[in-house]
Amino acid sequence: MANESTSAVAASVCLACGRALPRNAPAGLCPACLMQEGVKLVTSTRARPGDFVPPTAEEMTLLFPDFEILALIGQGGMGAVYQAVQPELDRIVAIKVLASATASDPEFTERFRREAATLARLDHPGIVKLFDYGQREGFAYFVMEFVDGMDLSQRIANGPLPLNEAFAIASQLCDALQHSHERSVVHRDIKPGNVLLAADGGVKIADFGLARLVEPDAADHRLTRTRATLGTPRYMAPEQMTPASDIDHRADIYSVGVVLYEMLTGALPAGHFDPPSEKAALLNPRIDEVVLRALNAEPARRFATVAEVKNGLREAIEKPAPTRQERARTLAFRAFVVSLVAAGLGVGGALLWSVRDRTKTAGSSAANELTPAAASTTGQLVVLNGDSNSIPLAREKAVAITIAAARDEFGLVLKPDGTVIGWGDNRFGQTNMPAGVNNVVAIATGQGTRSAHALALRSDGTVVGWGDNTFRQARPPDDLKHVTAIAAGELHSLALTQDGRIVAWGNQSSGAASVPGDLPPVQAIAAGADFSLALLKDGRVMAWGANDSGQRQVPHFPARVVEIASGARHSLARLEDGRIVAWGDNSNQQCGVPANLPPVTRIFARGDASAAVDATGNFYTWGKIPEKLHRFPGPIRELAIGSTMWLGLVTEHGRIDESFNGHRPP
Amino acid sequence: MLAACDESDAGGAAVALESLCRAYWFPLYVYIRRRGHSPEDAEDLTQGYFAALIERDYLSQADRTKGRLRSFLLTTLKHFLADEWSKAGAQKRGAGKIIMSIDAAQAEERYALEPADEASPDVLYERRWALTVLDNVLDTLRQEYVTSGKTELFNVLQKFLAWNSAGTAYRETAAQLNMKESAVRVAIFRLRRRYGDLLREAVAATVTSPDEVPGELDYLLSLLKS
Repeated sequence: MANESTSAVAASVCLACGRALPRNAPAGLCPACLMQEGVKLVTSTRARPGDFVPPTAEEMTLLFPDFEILALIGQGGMGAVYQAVQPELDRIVAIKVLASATASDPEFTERFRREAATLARLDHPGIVKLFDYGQREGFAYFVMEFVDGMDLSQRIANGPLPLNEAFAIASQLCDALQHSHERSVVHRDIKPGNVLLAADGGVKIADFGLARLVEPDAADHRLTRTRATLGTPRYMAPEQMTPASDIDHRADIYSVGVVLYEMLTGALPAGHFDPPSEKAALLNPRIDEVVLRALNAEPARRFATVAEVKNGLREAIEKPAPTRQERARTLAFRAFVVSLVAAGLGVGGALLWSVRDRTKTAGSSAANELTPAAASTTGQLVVLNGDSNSIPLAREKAVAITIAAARDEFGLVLKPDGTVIGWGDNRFGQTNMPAGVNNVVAIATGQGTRSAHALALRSDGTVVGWGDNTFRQARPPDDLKHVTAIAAGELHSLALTQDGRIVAWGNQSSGAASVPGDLPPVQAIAAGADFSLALLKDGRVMAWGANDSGQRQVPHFPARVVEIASGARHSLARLEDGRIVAWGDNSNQQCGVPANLPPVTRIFARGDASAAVDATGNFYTWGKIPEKLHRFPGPIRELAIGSTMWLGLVTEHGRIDESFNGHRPP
Repeated sequence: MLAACDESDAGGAAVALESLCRAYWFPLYVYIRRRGHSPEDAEDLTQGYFAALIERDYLSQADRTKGRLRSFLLTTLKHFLADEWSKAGAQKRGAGKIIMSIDAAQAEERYALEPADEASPDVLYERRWALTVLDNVLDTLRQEYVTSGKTELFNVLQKFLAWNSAGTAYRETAAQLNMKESAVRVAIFRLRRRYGDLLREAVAATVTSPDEVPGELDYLLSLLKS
């Protein structure tokens, strides 16, 4: 840029950027520097108006004159962390500045003060020490111990940890959490990024209670941007995802389970996951029990304290590896995975299974994709109604069962080794397993008069179909993968993928295979004869396809829906309080939910029949059910209902409620 | 739709237009001058252009134009200048409907400060636009401090807006203002935050969605760095 007046006015130069200072510079300031600062101030987080813009390191020197700010060392949606020197005390500290639009709100101020005072009292070598806290210019801040080292997420990025290292970290983590839990302080956001590995080998937990401080009322903010940026949902316990649920220290136990799993396998227990010992060949399978118990969807079924987690781990490590016999049993499970889709269990012919026969979680109430179900079990197969001689494996162990509720019955049994066998009508080859039906974790058959196809979900998330393929209902799309649940209708098929999408194929005429284009993320699916049902992650239920019996007229639910099931022309929804709502065809009173029904934990709908199980394993039926279905040896965990035959998977403990008398067919 | 034109009632739209004209007439004047028009013609053409902007309902075209005010005004100005009709009748039409008057002498005084390099009219226009954004933001900021009786504070602290050019002379500044050093630091912090807010608002008024603000800012910065 040439300047004509070089003689008269010496061209001044910006001392910072070296550019010639133009004569028309705004207020005599270097315009490039001025705009540069503006860009930093406005767009440091690509912020929209009202968003959190963390102070720049230079700005921090304005707010914290007692510190020498060295650098901005971390930044996220919930705040920013700076490394600083406190010259007076000759120590290095970390200053965390919180994003809070409500920092000027007196209520926030009070809660912040209270929360911070609690944290300041936590004094444990495994917990990052809080030195000071307060608010300046609308920012809430903490001055904390600076830990020189890396965090666990960086360590895990290099691959799984050896067992002794994982144990050393886990036990220090448990010690520190035990200290805080004894003082009624729940961390709420345990994740590898909050577990600091000091250079001296010590483990320190950071960010105690911050999740609560930043997001005090999670229920109201679940879907806001704030929530989205805050989140580490992959490490959160299911109950933390449920609005208005009480969170206690057991949420941290769940998160410890996730961290343990990730340390041992390098992977997260999301979607379908193998027990740790299946992923890490040298791992003692006894560890699985500890990890999976910590990961139980039901807080009450986890360890009671983190100290117990540590003890459980130590015992599992110190105990000898399982005997040959025990090992053989474990190997039988090799092919199987833990399904995370709790609500998908037994829905519309989709049966998912779990890992340990000692893991006894009834169908989980926390319905979301992050819930390790461990819900269904390997059980004994019993014929509830029908000719037991016609069914292979009767009284054997099985993982899942299904019978097509069709005019021509056929059924499938999923065996503990991941293979499937079938019996019954075979006109379409539906009981001949094609190649590739192995490593199966769930099976589905359809319902409706001419239903004659079957689906199997394999542990790698792919789907195989066979049987009647007139409408290509047995031919899943080639690129279908990451499937977590399957369901079959009369002439169509559904698959739910890990990211909450539904893929449908088969007969197009009823509309049952036409998934609404704008469907929000889905957590569970069900298929009727010629309609489809989806439980959305936000709790809503959507139906599409035929509507001749009101199948699509989803009623208003008085409470959150946690499970869905569809019969041929009707549907059931289980609410979180254990009530059932039914709609659709009621010609066999299949929608007539008995008035004296106690709260239930599982629901089943098949053909024109409905059934439910309560928490103690009692079993209730209504609608068009076989007359002989009255006695059976234990609580039903899974149920297959055909048009003439009922099968159950039962486990040992339980009783029959002789007094119950639901609707019976005339 | 340009954020600044997002006014449901006609009166509001007129007010919005007037304020935009006030804010950004000078880059247009500079463009016209650099195209070779005399100061008198430039004055008339600028005023005539703004009159036509209203009369021909150009701003409702802005409704349909997804884009930035910066390029919209230049494009329509080019159309205006190319239009034989406007060349012939600009003075007459403009004279009847002056929606803002330009002080010709002052405009020339400012134009004289523009770099006399070989930059094309388009380049000059854009660079002048970026500077005008800063001018306007600083004016607004100053006015806020003047209104609250803090003129001196603003005059002393404004150099901290460009930060690097000011260094960290807090102690000297504190002495100059007879304030505590910590109070000076906080005052600078507030000044800078407010500057950031006003800059975002100013740029947001010239684009169609808040999402475009960072991109527009980056572009303005690139103009000033070139």
